[in-house]
Amino acid sequence: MTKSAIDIIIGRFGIYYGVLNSSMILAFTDKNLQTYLGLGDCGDNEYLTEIFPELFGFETDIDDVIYKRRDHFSLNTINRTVDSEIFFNLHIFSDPENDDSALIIVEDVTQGSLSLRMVQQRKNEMTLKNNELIRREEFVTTLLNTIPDPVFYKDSSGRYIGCNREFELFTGFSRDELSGKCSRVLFSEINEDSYDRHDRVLIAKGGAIHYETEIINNNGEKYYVIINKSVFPDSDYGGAVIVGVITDITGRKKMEEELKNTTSMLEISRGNLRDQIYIMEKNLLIARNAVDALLQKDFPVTELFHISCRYLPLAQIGGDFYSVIKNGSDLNIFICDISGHGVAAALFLSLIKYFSESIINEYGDSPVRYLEELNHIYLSKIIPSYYFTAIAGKLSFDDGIKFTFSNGGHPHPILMKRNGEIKLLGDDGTVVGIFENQKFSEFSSVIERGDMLFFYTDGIPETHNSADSIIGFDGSLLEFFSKGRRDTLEDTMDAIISQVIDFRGEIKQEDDILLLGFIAK
Amino acid sequence: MGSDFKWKIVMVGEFAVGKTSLVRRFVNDEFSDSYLTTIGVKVTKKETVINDKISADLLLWDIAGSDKFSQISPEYIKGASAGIIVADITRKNTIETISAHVELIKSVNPGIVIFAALNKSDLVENPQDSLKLYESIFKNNDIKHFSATSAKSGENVENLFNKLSTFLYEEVQ
Ligand SMILES: Nc1nc2c(ncn2[C@@H]2O[C@H](COP(=O)(O)OP(=O)(O)OP(=O)(O)O)[C@@H](O)[C@H]2O)c(=O)[nH]1
Ligand SMILES: [Mg+2]
Repeated sequence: MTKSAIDIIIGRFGIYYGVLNSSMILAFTDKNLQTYLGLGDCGDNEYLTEIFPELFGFETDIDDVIYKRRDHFSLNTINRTVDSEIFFNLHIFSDPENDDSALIIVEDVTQGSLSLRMVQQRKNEMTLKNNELIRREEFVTTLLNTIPDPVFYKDSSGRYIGCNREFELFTGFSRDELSGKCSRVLFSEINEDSYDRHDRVLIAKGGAIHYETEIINNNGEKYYVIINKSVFPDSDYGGAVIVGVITDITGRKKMEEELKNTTSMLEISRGNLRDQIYIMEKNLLIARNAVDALLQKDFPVTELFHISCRYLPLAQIGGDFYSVIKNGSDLNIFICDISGHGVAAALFLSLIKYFSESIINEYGDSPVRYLEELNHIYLSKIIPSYYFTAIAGKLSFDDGIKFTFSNGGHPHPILMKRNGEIKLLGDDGTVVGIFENQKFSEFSSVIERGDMLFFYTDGIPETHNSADSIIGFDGSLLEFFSKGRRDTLEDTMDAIISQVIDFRGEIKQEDDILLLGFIAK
Repeated sequence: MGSDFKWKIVMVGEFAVGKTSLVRRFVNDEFSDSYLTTIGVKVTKKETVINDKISADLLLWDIAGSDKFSQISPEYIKGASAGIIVADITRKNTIETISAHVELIKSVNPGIVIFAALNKSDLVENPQDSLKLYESIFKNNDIKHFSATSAKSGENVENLFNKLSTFLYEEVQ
């Protein structure tokens, strides 16, 4: 057989060859190889790596073959494009007949490689898709897990396919435990009938439903829930997938319960409150009476004075107090107004009454010392919550009548002289019951027959009218009193009080009104 | 005439990360969206010029992507001056296996220079974030240079190969 016949035959099997000399020069003894590689007539006697750049870097391996240090060297599945794609294995065998040359065998493997590529390609694409699916699944899972409500999905026969983390926590079952099972199996105590019925309706009608129910989870905890379910068609899961979101309304239910309880408790306590208000009103009434009882009804009878009093208390317990006490030949006068109302103020008032009476023997002679002592006792004996304004006074008889007094922040006494003159006596002074060691001043005035002396609390000067003006303290007050002047003390006092009431008009009384009057006989 | 240098560079990495596409972009300035997996090896020669005066032939070995079931034939790695490990910036596992690839090619070819490319950077908002995120992988594996590339847009592709040529050139100086 000729060489070219052999070449043709082996070419049929996709095998081509060339000869490589020791200088790495390739001779295309088989012209078919040249054609196979698409080289045409060129390339003969070229440097090996010019024709097979794939062999660059393997020079020592090839040398070893040429010099028979090794039998052969192969490089498989080389891909080239010659008109169309070709794949070949490249083998270099040592030449048994020549010491310093080698045979290059090119074995075409295009068919096998293309088939292999098809398979490999399919496999790679599947893997990519699979990864994509896993990634999507991961994405969906991540997404579901960020939803703070329990979420599940089931197939059309009610078997769980998946759920989010919250659902696992909520039910007490892990995803794996749930998977493939029906709620009938998992939550035995639920009214399963309604559960199934809901699903059947949902699958039949499509869309979405929601309903309220109770669930007992794996840990035996009972929950009130609203289940929101919707359905979408899916051929993989028996035709449909049901997606459910659970809204836990246990808290709300509990609140509703609590609200119910609270409401009935409120009913009860409203009753209690009514009772308490009744008791308080009663207490106030008692205190009111007690305070009234503190107030002096009968004044000492003397040859020199006629004494009278008008008192218009508020419905609440007032804070006004006065006393006129005979002390030897003198008359001791005390009037005060405590800075508050109510039961507590009444208590303090009774204390003031007690203190004021207890020091009268020792200090009654000196109004200023009396007031200072009262201030001291009040501050040292109790922790006062109220301060008060007060006037301590003394009417003494020597040559004539002398009125000596000391003022602790109280509205000034008014002297209405018989001759028509009228004046405010003394100075303001500081209120009592705030500062320890408080010093007060003393004033005195001569009183003549027919003169009227008035004491009052701020209820009179502070009386408001609808024009939002008050009677006032100074000139306007004196004018006010002057207008009330009558022949007798009683008439004068009545006139002053009715003027106060007239002045007020529609406006309701805001403070106790106390007027204490003396007339020298 | 003949070039001053000739270097064999192997493209390594998981399948479908864009090894073929990077070579194609670099050599032919082309890109195709369709995927045709590589079987065996396809060697492409590309002439480059370093520092405007040195010419070098790069023999780019585009080899079939590997995974844990089909490893690269060690023969392909032999005689290579450099390896570019390509990963898909959108596929975490292709980045996480970089170390394994490094280990494999170094076992065959200890002196090899390794570069890495996080390819398909056009698919993410901030490719630099990924580079930061995986910096330790690159650093721990003695990877000389790493960048985010896109065979699709061409971003950093030329740059990657040029850097590699310069690196190889400077190494032999
Ligand atoms: N968006 C985008 N797609 C790319 C990029 N590079 C490659 N691709 C696409 O990714 C797919 C795979 O690209 P190839 O270059 O074939 O990947 P390969 O690494 O050679 O794959 P094997 O040969 O199978 O190992 C193809 O569909 C490409 O179009 C890129 O930078 N951006
Ligand atoms: Mg490829």
